[in-house]
Amino acid sequence: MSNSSHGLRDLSILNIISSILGNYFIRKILVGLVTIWVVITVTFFIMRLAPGGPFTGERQLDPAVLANLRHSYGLDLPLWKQYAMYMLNLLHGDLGPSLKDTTFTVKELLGIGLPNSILLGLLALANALIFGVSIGTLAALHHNGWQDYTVMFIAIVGIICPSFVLAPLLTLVFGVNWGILPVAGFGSHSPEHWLYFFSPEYQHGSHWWSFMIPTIPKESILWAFDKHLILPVISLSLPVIAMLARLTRGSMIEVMNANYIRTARAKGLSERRIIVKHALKGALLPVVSVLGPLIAGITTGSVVIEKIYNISGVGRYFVDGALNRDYTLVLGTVVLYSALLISLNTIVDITYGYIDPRIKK
Amino acid sequence: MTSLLKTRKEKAKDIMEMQSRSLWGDALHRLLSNRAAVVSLWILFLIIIFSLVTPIIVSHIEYYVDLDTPDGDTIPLLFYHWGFPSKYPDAEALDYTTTILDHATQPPSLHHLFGTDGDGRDILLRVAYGAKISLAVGFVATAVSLCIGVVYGTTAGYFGGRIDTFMMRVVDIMYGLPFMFLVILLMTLFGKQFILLFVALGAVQWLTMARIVRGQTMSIRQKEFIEAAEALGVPTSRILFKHIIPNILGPVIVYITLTVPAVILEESFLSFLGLGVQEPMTSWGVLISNGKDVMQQAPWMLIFPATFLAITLLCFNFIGDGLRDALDPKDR
Repeated sequence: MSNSSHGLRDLSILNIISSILGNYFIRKILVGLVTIWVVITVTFFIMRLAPGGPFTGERQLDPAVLANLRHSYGLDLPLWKQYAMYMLNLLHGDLGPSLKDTTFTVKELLGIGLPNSILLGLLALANALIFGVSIGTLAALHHNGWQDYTVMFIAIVGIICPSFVLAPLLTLVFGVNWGILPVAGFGSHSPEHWLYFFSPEYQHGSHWWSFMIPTIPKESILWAFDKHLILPVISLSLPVIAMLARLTRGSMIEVMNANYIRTARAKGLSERRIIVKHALKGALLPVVSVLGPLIAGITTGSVVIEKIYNISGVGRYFVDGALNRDYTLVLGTVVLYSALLISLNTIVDITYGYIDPRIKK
Repeated sequence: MTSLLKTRKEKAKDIMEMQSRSLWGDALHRLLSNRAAVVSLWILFLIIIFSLVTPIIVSHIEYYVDLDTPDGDTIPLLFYHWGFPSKYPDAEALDYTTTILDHATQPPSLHHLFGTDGDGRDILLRVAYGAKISLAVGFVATAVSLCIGVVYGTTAGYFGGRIDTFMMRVVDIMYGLPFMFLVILLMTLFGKQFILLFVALGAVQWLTMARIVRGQTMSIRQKEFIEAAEALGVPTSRILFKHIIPNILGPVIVYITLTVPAVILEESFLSFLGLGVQEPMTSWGVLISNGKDVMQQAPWMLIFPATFLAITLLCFNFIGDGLRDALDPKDR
């Protein structure tokens, strides 16, 4: 596409621009920015085209009050003006007030939800990567052995059992029938929490030695690291584990038959060194290439998981906001999600170009 | 040795058989020798028959009664399978509320093979209705994505150059979109219409289809027979539809079999959130969503729809794998 040939060329502005655009990284980042803008614009206009508004509730408002409300939120302006205002505010990092929950701004609501969602998503991603890649490798090394069949069974379960079936089943077995894991109550400071000893409630002047014990403030993220997280993380990551295990197994089997592995064996390297240093490096390329869709899948899945386990994350705000026509809240969540997903995708793309130079054209 | 002992006639027959096997015949033969794919095809066929036939059979066993409520209203109990002892029960003698309580949340029995739900509806019948809608959504949305993807992909691949660069850049950008969120948004804003569900889910899936089709088209475009057709003055649309599209069908069919389960899963996902199919229509996602709320008291309400969903997804995956093996030119 763009002129990126090397050698002498005259330094007109157009050539400089095209050589900058020809740069792989800059091109990727620009595409990412354009994508975020497209998503925000599309979402903005879809929301406004839809019938109904944030103030069409059960009880009919007085027309004068309604007009005042609409005026105070700028909803009576022409659409293009609203759009321009929203984009300008967005550039300043202002997501506007929530139209339904008027005591909060959108930023505050997302500030409550985002840490929970990110914690859940990151733990699920880490869980999926660690387990998926390792059991995939295990299956490939014992090709057609019992380990292989076990892993393939898990992979099939992951395919046919979506997270919204898995989560209730896990809850039933571990939470209700066996009673070893809590069902809901994520992020609480209950006495069952393993850090309860350090909670302000417990240590607040109840003992003479309390002043020696450091307390963990209520807002701390540490409170979220709890057994309440186990079931959500497992049900969110199992489908991803299945997918990763299948992928790793396939590419690992292929790589282990490659010529350079045979050469490494002929050189007399230990099996462990061959696998860790040589085989995994090649076999993990496809895994890196699916990281983008994988993160998107975890984010989407987390909408359901947050609903099932009653976790107040961004996904719940999104669904509730859309149902209530809370324009600013929905736009805020979409902006947040798309910025997150697209920047992660861009990072993955750039990393992939770095790992596998053939990609960079 | 055996070939030496064959008569001339047999040899001729062998040669004829070898020649008569076309590309598609060969693929079909490979597919039919794949046991998992064949079994999956049969199971899928049975599920489709089940979804079509069960409502007919059960409605014969079912008792259509007009119940008179104490308020003087008449309620036609169309979908309600009560399992009355006699065929024509004395409707006057029935009390609406007690009847519902009597027949609600029954465990599986001979009368209700899969049990009943909280409204006394037969789960077997509900699962069959759900199968109809889930499969219909799967097939129609896939068809939508097929139409968009094939037209888009062949256009980009055939014309090439700047048009191709531009069209594929658009696809690249759309790949980055959080599509499920836009679908959720569409479903919540535009009144959960059934048609919209098809279109929205199809619109999510066409991107990969377009990429596959474009790649195939570009490689076929280089072939001599396209050049010959162009030299003969065949119009572009005819070249596209008569010469190029039939030749890219293989990978497209494989991708279709993988798209259908993905769409079914997405539909269940939306229905689970309460945004997809609405009552009184039902789908497996709706049934699973209803079932998980009462899974302690009535596990059959979750188990049966979930099993059907799982089996269907599994079958489609096996068929897709089988088709890929059958149509993959690398193996040949």
